[in-house]
Amino acid sequence: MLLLAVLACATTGTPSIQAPTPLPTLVATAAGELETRAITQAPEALLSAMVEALESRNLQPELLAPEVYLEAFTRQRTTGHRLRHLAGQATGTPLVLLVEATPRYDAQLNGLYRWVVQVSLTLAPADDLELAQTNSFAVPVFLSFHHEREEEALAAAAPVVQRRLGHLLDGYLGGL
Amino acid sequence: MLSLLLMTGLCQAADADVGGYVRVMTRPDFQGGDGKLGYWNLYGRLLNESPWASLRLNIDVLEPEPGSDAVWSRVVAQVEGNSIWATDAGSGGLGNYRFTQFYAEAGNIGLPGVTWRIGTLWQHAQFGDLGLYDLRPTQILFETVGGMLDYRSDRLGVMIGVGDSGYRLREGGYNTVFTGGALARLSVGTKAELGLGGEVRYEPRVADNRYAPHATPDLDYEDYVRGEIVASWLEEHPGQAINFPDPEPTSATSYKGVAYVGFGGLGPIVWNNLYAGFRRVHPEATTIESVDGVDYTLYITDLTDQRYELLIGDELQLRLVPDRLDVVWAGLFGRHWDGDNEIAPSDHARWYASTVLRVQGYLSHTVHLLVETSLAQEVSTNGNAYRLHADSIFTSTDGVSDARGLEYGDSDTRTTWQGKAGVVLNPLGPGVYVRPSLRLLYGLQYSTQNNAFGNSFVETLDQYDEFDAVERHWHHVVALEAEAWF
Repeated sequence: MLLLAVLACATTGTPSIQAPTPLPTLVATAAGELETRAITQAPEALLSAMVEALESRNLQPELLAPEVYLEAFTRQRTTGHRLRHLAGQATGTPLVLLVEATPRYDAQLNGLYRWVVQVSLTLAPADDLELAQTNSFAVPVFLSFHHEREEEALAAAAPVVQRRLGHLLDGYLGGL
Repeated sequence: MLSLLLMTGLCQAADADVGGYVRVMTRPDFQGGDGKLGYWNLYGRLLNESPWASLRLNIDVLEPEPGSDAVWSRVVAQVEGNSIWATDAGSGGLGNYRFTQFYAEAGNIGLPGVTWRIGTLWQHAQFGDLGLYDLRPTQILFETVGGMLDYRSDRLGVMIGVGDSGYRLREGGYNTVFTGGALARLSVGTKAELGLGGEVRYEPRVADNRYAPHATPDLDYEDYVRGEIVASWLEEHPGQAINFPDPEPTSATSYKGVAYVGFGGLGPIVWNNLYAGFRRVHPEATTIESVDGVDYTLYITDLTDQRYELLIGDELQLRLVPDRLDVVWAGLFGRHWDGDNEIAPSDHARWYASTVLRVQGYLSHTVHLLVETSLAQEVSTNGNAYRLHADSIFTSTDGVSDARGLEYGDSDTRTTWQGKAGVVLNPLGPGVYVRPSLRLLYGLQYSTQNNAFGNSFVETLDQYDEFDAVERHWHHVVALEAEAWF
């Protein structure tokens, strides 16, 4: 029991790289659906995970209101175009973060429903998009029920997205 | 497996996705068992299953484009098996693995929202899984290779499949078994789902095809059980072996109907799945009896075509204290009938019922406590089938020793209780089915049957045997396990 208590209470991990001063960061998320043209904001669980990753590095996330960008993002299909749109909304926020995620159903695998979430994280100074850094990756997630769809798949991907966003931020902040 | 790995490497340039599942464990057993707590997952899959590994490869030939109606296509292959190096008697030999999936699918061709699929069909032909039992009562098209139309919208999902189940059912003795099946799933709001479906299989009569269904005339079931059909006939017809009746061609049919109700999102109820399946088992083809060194093939379609199975299962997931305490409660009932057999116990003449309760508490985000208990009863409806004691008789009639009896042991009932508890490390956080999981578990079983677990014990009562039969109803194991989906 003592070992169990130690395991449960112990904290691990190295401290994140901190921004030298609080750095406002404008964030927009584009969750796409394969079967429709719909682009929506990421679900709350994924947003919270990203906000936590940003705040733990002395960044000040500002979530762009969905009505400001969703229509444009539905029309614009490339990361470059979306990033430019996002940077255009950044007044007083030196950093912009674009999160694009598209879940895709695979099949039921040994009792759980397998989805693969294709994620692209792009971080750039708002005034110099040439310095944009992008991290693209796929996250397999497993849901318990058939009725759990895109939103739940995105939420299930949150821990991995948070981790990969942390790597991207650490790389960027380390170079400041 | 090797070919799949090679394909994985070759497909690096293409848009490929590799997924899979693995469970690996060691369960040292000081009581001489094979490492499983009980016989099967009627007592809960935990500690009652063997190792398993599957590797799944998806290759996008034409990648789907988000928000586009462009045609897409992909090829899927899956290899799986139940052996891993040093964890079981198979030692990870590739002979324990097989291709269980191979299909190509395409979308946005002809009909919007429809996926066309050709190849193995079973992975997309079910309503879901009873997680605590690892059972799928609504599985159809399991043996079928063929074509499938899979339509999905927000509220309605329809799957229609047709094909041939002959190779999976008959293997080396292949004969075409035409198979058709369909499932429909309707979402009622966001809190309920209904599902209905079924399949029908038809194996046609083909005269002069020795692998097609035939019936050898006038077979007696008791002689069949004893393996004495030919001997009895020759006893009645001495010297007339050449006149042994020829089989007569016939056809064979089987079917399965399935239903599903799911609901959830109500207070602590995350979701409840209720599944039911009723099927007529496809008849067997042949059996072989040897008399005086001569093999006689007997065609037994008529002796095995009255087997029916009902399986009902329910699983309820509860979130009692969010991020602190989850509970899953499941129940299972099965009833098997055999209209041809009223004299001998078998897996086709029995009923069983079971309940499993799992409680998982979260000491921290990654360190959890797991407790599970189950109670099950299995009853043979054709007489005794279980030995309750080390000195129980083997063959019997009405519980009395009878060398020619068709019953076995001294009871028609086996009652089993299991309890399991341990520590779970979950890197991805809370959730009963969140994986990967690294587990240290202790399991305890009580069964009314003697030595009710996989073993190699000597059971004979021969006084000259160098090993004695031992009375043992309690069984316990300690397990180090890992389970992951990826």
